[in-house]
Amino acid sequence: MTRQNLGRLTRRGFLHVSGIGAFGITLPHLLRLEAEARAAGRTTRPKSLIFLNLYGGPSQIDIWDMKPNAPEEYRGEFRPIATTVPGIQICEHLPRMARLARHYSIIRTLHHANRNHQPAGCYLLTGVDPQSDNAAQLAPKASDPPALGSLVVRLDPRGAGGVPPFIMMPARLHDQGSAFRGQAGGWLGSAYDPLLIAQDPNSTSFRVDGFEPQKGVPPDRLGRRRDLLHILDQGGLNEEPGIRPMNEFQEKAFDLLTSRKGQSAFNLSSEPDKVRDRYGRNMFGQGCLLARRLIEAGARVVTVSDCTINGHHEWDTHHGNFKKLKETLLPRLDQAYSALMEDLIERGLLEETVVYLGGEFGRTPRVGQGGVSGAGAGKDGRDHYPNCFCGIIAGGLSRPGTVYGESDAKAAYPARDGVKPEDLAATLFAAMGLDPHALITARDGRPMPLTHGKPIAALLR
Amino acid sequence: MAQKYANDILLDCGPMMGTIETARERVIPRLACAAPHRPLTTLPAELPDGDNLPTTVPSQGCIQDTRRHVGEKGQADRAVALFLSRFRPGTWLRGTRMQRGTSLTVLTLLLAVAPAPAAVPNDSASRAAVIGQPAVLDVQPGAIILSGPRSMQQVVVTGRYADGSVRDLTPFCELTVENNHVAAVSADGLVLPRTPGSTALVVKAAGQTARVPVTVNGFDQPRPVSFRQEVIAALSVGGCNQGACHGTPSGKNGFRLSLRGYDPAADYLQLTRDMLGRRTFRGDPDSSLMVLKALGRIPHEGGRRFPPASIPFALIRSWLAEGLPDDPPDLPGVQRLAILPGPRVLHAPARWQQLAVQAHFTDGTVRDVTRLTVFSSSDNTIAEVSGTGLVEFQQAGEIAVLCRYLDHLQTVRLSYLEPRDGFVWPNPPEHNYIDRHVFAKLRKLSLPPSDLCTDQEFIRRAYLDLCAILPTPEEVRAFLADPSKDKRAKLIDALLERPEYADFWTLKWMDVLRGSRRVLGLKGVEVYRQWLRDHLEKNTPFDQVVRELLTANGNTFSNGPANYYRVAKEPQDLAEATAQLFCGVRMQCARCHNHPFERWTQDDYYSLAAFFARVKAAPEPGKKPNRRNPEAEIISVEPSGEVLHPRTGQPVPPRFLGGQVAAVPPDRDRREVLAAWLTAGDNPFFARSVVNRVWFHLHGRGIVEPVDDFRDSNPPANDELLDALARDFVEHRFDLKHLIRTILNSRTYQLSARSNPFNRDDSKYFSHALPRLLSAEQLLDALSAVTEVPEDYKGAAPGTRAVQLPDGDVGHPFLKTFGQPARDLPCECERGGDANLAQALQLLNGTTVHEKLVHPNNRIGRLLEMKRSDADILTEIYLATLSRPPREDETRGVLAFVSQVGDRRQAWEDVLWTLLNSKEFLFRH
Repeated sequence: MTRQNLGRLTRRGFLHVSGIGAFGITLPHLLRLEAEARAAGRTTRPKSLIFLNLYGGPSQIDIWDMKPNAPEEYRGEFRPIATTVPGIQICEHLPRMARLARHYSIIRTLHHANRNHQPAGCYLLTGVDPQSDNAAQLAPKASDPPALGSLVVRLDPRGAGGVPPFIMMPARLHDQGSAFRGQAGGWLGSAYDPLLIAQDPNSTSFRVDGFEPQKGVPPDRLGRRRDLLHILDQGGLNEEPGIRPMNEFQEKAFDLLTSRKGQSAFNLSSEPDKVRDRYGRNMFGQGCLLARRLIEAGARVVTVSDCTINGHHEWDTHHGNFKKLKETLLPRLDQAYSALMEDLIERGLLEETVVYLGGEFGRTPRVGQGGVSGAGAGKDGRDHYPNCFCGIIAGGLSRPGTVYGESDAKAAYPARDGVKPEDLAATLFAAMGLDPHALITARDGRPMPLTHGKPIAALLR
Repeated sequence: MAQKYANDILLDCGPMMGTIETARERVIPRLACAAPHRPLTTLPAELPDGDNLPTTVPSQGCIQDTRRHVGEKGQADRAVALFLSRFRPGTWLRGTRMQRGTSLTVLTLLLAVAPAPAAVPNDSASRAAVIGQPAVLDVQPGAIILSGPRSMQQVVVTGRYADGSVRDLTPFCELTVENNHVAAVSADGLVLPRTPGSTALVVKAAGQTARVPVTVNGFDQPRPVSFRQEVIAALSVGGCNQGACHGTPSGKNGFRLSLRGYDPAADYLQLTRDMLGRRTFRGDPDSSLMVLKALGRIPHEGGRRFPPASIPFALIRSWLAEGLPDDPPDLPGVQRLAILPGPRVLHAPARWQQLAVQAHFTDGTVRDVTRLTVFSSSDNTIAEVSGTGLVEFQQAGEIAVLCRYLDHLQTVRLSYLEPRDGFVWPNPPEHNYIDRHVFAKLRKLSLPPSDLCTDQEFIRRAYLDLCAILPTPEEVRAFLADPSKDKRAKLIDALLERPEYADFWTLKWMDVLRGSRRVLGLKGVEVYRQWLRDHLEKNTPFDQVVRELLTANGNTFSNGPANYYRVAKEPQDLAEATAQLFCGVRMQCARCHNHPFERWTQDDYYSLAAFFARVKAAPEPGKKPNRRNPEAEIISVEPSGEVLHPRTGQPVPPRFLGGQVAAVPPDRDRREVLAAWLTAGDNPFFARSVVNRVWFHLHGRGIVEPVDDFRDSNPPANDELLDALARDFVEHRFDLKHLIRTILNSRTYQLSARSNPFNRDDSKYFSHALPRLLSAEQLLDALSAVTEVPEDYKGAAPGTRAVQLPDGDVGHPFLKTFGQPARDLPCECERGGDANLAQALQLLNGTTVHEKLVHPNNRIGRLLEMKRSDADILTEIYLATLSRPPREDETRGVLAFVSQVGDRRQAWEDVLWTLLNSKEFLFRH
């Protein structure tokens, strides 16, 4: 046999040349069970979540909860425009988003009491109030509350196999040089950490490590190794219950490396230029595109933050609020969000994908009003503000085309229907078709509900 | 303070086992309506006469909640109906009174829609098979005295058989009361009073009869309903005050109860005063929110918690009707619980056991509280327990049933044995006392142990378990060639003297002692680690090591053990860590509330913390605290300082865990007193927890599992084994090497990982070795050793093995992927043990493995350079990776493979890659 035709070693060929008949080749038991389940019709696709995190805190009053009748020092420079849903207005710098209004709902009364990025970020990413503003306490620890995606994976570990079930990009979020909790598996254990893609998907060198075969190991060589492993790694030990999970993960990992589905999910260059342009040739836009591809390939939760490549905030407009929003942040968001939504709708994926958009808090209602965080506000800026801010929910089992909650005349406090982040978490779980109070066991065996929050019935179908 | 901690630490305190469904059940849509309903029980002809019975309209449809309900047993309904009639007839739920027959039918219907509890067979053949032919029927209690109209008595009927065995016949026998004007009995053995007088309970089964006198009295002076003893218990039985519901620190929907009723005074205020008393409306009890919500008559997120016709609900309803009295201060309290019939071994086909819970009060009275008790099984896969205390085994095994009435907990151990076709005890030889105890248990459970592992398996296992390294090919060859009979024992002795032994066991302890540079500074971790390593290498008696640790003072950069007081500084944290590490007890729950399934109370918690009240950690003079790069701290003991109880605000005196208040002279360090108590030979915790931890490291599973969660409701898999190991450990002056040597020399340790058809599903009783993935450090060191390409670690000297790293903060992605802990918790659980996708990817395609494989000077490169033959190379890499020579079929297959691949180097890389990804390599087996 020459080298050329050995490209893919077949089992039959191996057995033939080596004379091994004694090795029985069976797929790992669990995979077989899975296949049986599929054959039996258990094919319902679980719903996914794309969490678009506008890290830094987008201004509620300038974007989704505009108060054109408030005094000028509150209402700011921007004007509202009508959306396609009568009665709902949003910022003039989100024209594409305005056209899609019947596909999402706006929550205008999110609120909590955490004034800094770290605790507020933890809260939104986990649905658990950290009740601490101490950076040391907020550093990631094994006892932390798990990220929403980790909870989803723990509750329902079924993955489509093509990609890891929980993915975060483009960086681990930081503030003042320290990463904070809420971005990992926490008390569920590190097995539930997300795959972190700490790279710019807009870069030409974007390549997700570990998901493309190593140099010198092209697919045919990997296939040869896989065959050899199937043949040599047999025997009684493989059937022991303690070993089966690793067998299963090995098979999934092989699928990931060899199937076109898995690999190409990370391969943005296989998207037509037109599509890439539509999302925006920037880190956040391409992140949204990648999120769509990952969801298609079977990921359950993908978190895309609009942040710097080092994980620092982009939306933290203490100074030059209007200029930044108008020139950079809002156009970028408008393009990426509308492209993602339209793409999901066109592909029929919005029904099975929940899309959430929001930040960790809002901004002070009065322009130039500081005193909330240490950083204050310039005369054209707004400080952190957790007492009232917005979030946008779409897709899955959520009810689109409405506004939930009403703020006061200055978007300073909820006037009615306040929503805590744990209620938002519960609503996101419910929109994914999950019971928000379903119990999961922590690493130490304690049963815990996914969240203590209460789903908002008005936002669910 | 309690609230603060509740928020900080236990915000997510979940509901506890038993009263809540498992996650899997919750994910399944609630299909209570589709669940099989209990067939309607036919009303017997001889219904006792009674008052007009309470009536109510059955709720439409089915119960919307699969959660546990009370009083669901159809058999109980007639008796319950009678019982209910004792609660203020006339003030019963609004509705028209009906004639007895009608109302009973209504009640029967009502109860019949409840989800079926643990099912007892109802066909006569199966029932007759369970009953068999008893020689005697035994009824507990032997005499029934029902004092007052609301008293009750669950009976337990035991059949005694000619062969000495016993069966629980409570749900199977025929139960009648001679004079049904005096008392009534339900089909599941609940006896309820009707009118004062005397009669007898008659029990019949398979021709045998037993007769128990019944006395009903005390109707002239009925006891008022007790809020603290009955209403609180009813709320617990309904699950109202569990962690997922109103027992969570923030309550639910503005209504907050203390978790499982540990603070009845606060609950009384919540129920009677909060919300302007709308929850409890004495003028019109049935308009109370407490009634409307609990019965699901108005929307209630928790659904319907009680059928209206249930004893717990009837108590709540009566309390409301009686005007919400709080208990008089002199009400006799509960002293203890007794469980009938006590520990028991059941044999097939009798796999059911009814329990009865008897509360003994301080005034000497005894009352049955079975229907007010929350039951839970320590292992629901082995047996489940219904809300009325009927245990049903699903398979052979042993469990503890936890019975909780108010804050009193009592467990009862039950086992169930089944004969197994073809089971023959193989009579394996016993190497030492470990085998005697393990095999006795296995024999009892019909679990024949696996065969002895091979020498090849043994050498690999022993090297990995003791030293975290693989034997070299030379060492394997020498061991396999050694003809001496005691070569395994000699190998164990030799390995215990290797420096790698001290490295590895230091790592294990440093994980849970939380040696991390983030908190201690690199210098601090290094001296801490070095201190422990020196002791382990010298094999210092472990009691001495722990005493040194617990009483340490001084500079954390020069005195290693002082770092114990830097990792945790608060007395509470120190109490938790000390209890978990050296007593095997998790006290965390008791910080905010009494432990929900253990006897530990808040008082126990704070009196243990009091031992650490005076420890002080201060920055070294002249050094500023630096979060990024910690400087040294000085640990010292202050002359004063107390821990305050969060509820009372009063100082708590130091008291030994589960023991007496410690007499500590004012000038003495309280920690010395604690350390002396802890490490005394008769301490009930220390030796048992240490031997269990060592056993866990060697077997992959503790005798008590989780390894640091000793409690009555989590019994050891083998009591005799644990006791014997602990005794041996104490007798040998806490000699760790002796302990490890004894375990490794046992046949139990040396059993093969290959299961047999009988013990395949056993992962609890040590009938075979449990294969487990190598730990992060073991695996990376093994990869380095096999390929001969050492790993470079940031800041570590070249040649350092992963096991020798000071902590987990070297930031090595491979180690993190395989579960290296960050050392945040004093818990073995922090080291992730489950396989995951990221691990499989790392091994298949990761940079770490790949670079070692392609390194030009790796083992393959060296062997090729030496012009070794393919057969030689093959043997060499099999010995290096799997610690055994290749089998003949493997040799033929691999050599053929190598000859087919044109590039010899690439071919051998592929073969080595394959072996490194084989489960035989990745797992310790």
